[in-house]
Amino acid sequence: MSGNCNDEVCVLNGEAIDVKDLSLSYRNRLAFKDVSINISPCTVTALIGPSGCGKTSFLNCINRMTDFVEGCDVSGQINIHGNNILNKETDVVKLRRKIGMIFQKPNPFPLSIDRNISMPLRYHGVKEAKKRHEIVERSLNEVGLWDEVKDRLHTQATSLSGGQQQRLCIARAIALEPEILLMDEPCSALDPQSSATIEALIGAMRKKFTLIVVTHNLAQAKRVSDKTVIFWNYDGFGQIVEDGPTNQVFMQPSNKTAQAYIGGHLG
Amino acid sequence: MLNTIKNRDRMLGLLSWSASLAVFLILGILLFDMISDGFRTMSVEFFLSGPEKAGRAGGIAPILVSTMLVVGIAVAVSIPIGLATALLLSEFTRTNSQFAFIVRKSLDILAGVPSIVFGLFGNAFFCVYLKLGFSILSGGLTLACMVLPILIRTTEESFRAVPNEFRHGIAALGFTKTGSVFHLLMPMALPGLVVGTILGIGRATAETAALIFTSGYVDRMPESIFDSGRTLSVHIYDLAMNIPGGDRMAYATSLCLILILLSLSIITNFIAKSVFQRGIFIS
Repeated sequence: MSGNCNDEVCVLNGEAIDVKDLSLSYRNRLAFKDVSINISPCTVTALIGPSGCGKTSFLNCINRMTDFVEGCDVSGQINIHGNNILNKETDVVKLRRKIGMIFQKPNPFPLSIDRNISMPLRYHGVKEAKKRHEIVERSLNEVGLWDEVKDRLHTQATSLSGGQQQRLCIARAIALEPEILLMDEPCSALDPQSSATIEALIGAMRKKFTLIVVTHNLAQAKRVSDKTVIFWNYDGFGQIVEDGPTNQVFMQPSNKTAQAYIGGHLG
Repeated sequence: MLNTIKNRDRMLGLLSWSASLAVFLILGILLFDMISDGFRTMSVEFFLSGPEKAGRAGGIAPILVSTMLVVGIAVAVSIPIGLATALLLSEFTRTNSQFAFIVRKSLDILAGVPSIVFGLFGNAFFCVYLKLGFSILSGGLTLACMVLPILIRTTEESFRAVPNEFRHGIAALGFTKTGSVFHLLMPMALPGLVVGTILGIGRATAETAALIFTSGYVDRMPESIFDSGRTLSVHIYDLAMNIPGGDRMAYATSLCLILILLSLSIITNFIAKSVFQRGIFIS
């Protein structure tokens, strides 16, 4: 697996993402326009902003989940590994294998805890049962779930609590060793304690993957991210109003809207 | 004022009670009649021997075998076609697809076609045009056509019942469409498929009109699926309508048919209750 991490702590395979002039419309209604962001490997980027400004749509472009939406039109460029993944020739299945995604609502499959992780592994060619068990244990350990579930790996995953389910989904995604992990408001359906666990997890995962996290929670963005991007809805479609290192965005935002939003006067 | 309301409530209550009682009585009388008359005739011999004296004596062994063959063929043919069509409708067409619309409408119309029309079609197409003659194969194929609409709609519904979050979740893990169908959607839709199949078997087993024209009347033990064979329902029809003195055997055969259908419906309920509620669970 290739990785062009410059960061010393980067031990695995985070990949850079270069987005140029990305626009998206649903049935000719513009959702966001001319979004350009440069994301470095093995960093956490937080996307913040009010509802309906295109954060989730933007996220869905990166692993081409937009393909599932009828009437969705994406233009511009998203370069990963030097290839524009919006090209028609892109093998989306291979792409999604390298770009994990965590959804807002935990969505473990109605299978056992073990099968939730081992079924995708098997599908992607890990034929040896022993190897699969190792990866299941390692991934569950990484998300801090192993000790909680090691005695009931063969019970239904849906019997877990919401926070545990979300961590299982993260374990399922990282078991495939992605280069990029997209998280769409991963904590919004969870209680504060589970949120804190997931936040800590994001911090730990930064060493391995490039993370993009959509969140409504400003404090969370400030705590977990290296870079913050603020989306705002102007003229009926979303655009970027502020983009930079998290410290800078929170301490001295240059844009007026961003200032008001960060200051809590807007949004 | 209050009294009139009370009286109205009482009337409605009485009406619905008596209506429900009537439904129960119909079933009760039917079953009682059948059991009291049919049970005496039923014996081990009845299930193991062939009909004698045009069905007035003997048993129903060849009839049971023919029924199983006809229904077996119907199921074996309709499951792959039904599953494939249901998959197409729910997973491989867009929601506003014209093609899916036409297929769905055709299925609805097919579901409402009287069975005797299926019989005539089966006779013209399978027996005459494809030269299969009056045979178990013709009967099975005709029943397959008849069962398809119900099977496809039930299966399609069970695919649709799988929430989209699972489709997106598995796609985000790098599964192809085919991969997600075989690894997740199909196992999740399996209970629906099973229920659809059993409902289809029920309909096929109970069928008479479509089979008179296709699998025929012959009550000998079939030697192959190209032989004509008589199913339980056809046997009952023949005994009751054409054979004076065949009533006793007709009762016994009906009881046998009812028992088969009843156990199918119990199995369906059981599957629906236990598996649907628990969801799929393969560890």
